[in-house]
Amino acid sequence: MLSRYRGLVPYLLVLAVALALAWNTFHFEFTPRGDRPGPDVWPRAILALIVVTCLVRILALLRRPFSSDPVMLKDVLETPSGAGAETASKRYPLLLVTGIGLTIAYVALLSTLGFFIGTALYIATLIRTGRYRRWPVIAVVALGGALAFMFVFMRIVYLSLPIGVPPFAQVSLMLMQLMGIR
Amino acid sequence: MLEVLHQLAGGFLHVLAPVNFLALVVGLVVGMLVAVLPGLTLVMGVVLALPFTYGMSITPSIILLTAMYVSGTYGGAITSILFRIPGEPMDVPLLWDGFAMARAGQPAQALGWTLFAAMTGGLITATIMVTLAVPFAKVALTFDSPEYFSIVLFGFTSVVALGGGSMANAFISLFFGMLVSTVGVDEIYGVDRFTFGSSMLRDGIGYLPVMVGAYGLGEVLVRLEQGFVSPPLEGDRSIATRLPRFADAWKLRATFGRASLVGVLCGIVPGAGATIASFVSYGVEGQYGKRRRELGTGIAEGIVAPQVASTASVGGHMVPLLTLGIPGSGATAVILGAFLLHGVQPGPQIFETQSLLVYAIFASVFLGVLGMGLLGYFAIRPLIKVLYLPEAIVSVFVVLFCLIGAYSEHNNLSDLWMIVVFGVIGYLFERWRFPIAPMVLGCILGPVAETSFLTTMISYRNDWTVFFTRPVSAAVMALTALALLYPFYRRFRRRPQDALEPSRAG
Repeated sequence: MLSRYRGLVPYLLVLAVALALAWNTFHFEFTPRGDRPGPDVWPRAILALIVVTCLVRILALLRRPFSSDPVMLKDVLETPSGAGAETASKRYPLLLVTGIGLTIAYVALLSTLGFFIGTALYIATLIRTGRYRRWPVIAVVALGGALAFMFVFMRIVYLSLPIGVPPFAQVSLMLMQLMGIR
Repeated sequence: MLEVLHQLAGGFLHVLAPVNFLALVVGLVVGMLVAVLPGLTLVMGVVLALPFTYGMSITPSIILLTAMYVSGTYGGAITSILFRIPGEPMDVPLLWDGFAMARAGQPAQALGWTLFAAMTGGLITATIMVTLAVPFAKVALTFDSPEYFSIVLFGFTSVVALGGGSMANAFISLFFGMLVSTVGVDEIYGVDRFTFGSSMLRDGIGYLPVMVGAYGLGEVLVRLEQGFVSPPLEGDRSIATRLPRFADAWKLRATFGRASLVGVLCGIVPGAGATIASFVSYGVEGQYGKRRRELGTGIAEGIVAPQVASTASVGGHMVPLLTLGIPGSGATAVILGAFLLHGVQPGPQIFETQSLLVYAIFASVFLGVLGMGLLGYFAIRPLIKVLYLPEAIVSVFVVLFCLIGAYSEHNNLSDLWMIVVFGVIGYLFERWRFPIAPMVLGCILGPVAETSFLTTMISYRNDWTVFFTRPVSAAVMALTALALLYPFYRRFRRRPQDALEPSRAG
């Protein structure tokens, strides 16, 4: 019973957002031109379709005695058997939250730490979060990977990556000098 | 026809220029590597390669990405057959018979059939592409906004209706993508839509961060939540490829024919990708094949049907891309991005203004198929080595490629935030079983649909019946209606049979 109502959550969420955005379309600031469709017509049509589809799905879920998760094409994949099946179905929400947090931190701190330091730290921490435990390998991959990315993208692709703020910028500038990057 | 062959010869010469040839080789190798790695899809690979093309000129860029696309349709089959791990979703049907044949002590034969099927499908698709593209482009020159809108609409409904699974979820995903594409400043009125005062949103949301975030980061987050558990590789398989004899292949000519037709048709329909082609072809073989009752037991037909179709769909996807500027799949959507980055708008006019580029692309598909054959035959052992890399390490680099790829477009950190947002959205989509492909296609084709719809309304004074009165538009609208009704018909027909037949999978 609970799983049926849990299945409603995404549709209720989407419905709420769609209704809020539909309300927002009535506040677009523009001057209508005769009988021409305005800039609100297309988004409002899409939102109406979203609302209708969500309502249809919600009603379908409420009517059925047992909720069945929608079958996706990828569900036809061979399901692993034995130990593989057990490990594949187990979830680690803490790993997920940590991974998202690390990625947010990386993006937020990139312009402060600079590309090399930020990326090396990100690689190391994310690999460790991914349950890989061999620290020497992690260190080599983190440092080597950050250097390789820096070389390829700054020297070969000519991309201007963040160098950071002092004192972190000094590290970036020193490495750039060593790699012949101007 | 002579003119086409003459131009094609010029295309071959152009591809054999050192830079272009190098791009072809690199594309083939990287495409196969990406396809072999489970968790890294063909589309993700092409997306990740896109930033590397910024510094290149347009011809090697497109050749690189197209070569990745061609070889990627074959690479994932290797792990399906040897280790029961589909490298790509399109390789799932192949796994049923391919792994069974390998388990029966014939892995080399299974790999041989797969390679032969991939090459056959590839050569057929390249031929069809060259044959169809020019006449299609001439017809496309007569298209107006009603035709463009109806074709895009057909593409939307096809990807939703033919993709299988929950249509409601697929539609919601599609509409969400279309809605994302409206964020920013409206082109006609110059009005802010859904910007909420944010300068970041005012710039609009390009489809690249959506695609890269949802497919790339989103997939990594899903696998991170599972603890990066890859299925263990089953033992040490002897890895070699034994091509079938021509006499044996000739016996399967009907299968080759059916699969080629399915692949090309699925390719031409915008939105129906190689995965759909593969599944549909296997299903068609199950309906009409001579040995249909033995499918799933390790017969060659079960390998040939999906593999030919998935490779044959490549050329089909390139036809709407080149002639209409409408991508036929996720990978061709990225290739469209590469065109636009270099200031070239694909469409019927490209055959006049950039004919050398177009025929170089055609020639690169031919050469790419041959190169794929050589790689698949000789380089299979080193390719398999990548499977032994820890998934945590591979995934980190995937994420970094996503982030740097997005950053490289505008050198703007706000694009990185978009990746993070759509990465989380991609994860939630996977978790709640909303397919990602319709969202990405909605994001890419949404602006085309809106512009063509509004242009039609303005040009034809709000007369919506024009979509049904113009012949081409009316025909495409009829196909759209069929595509929408087909799943209901399929469900209606299946009901009495579900109680009787056991499930095939597993």
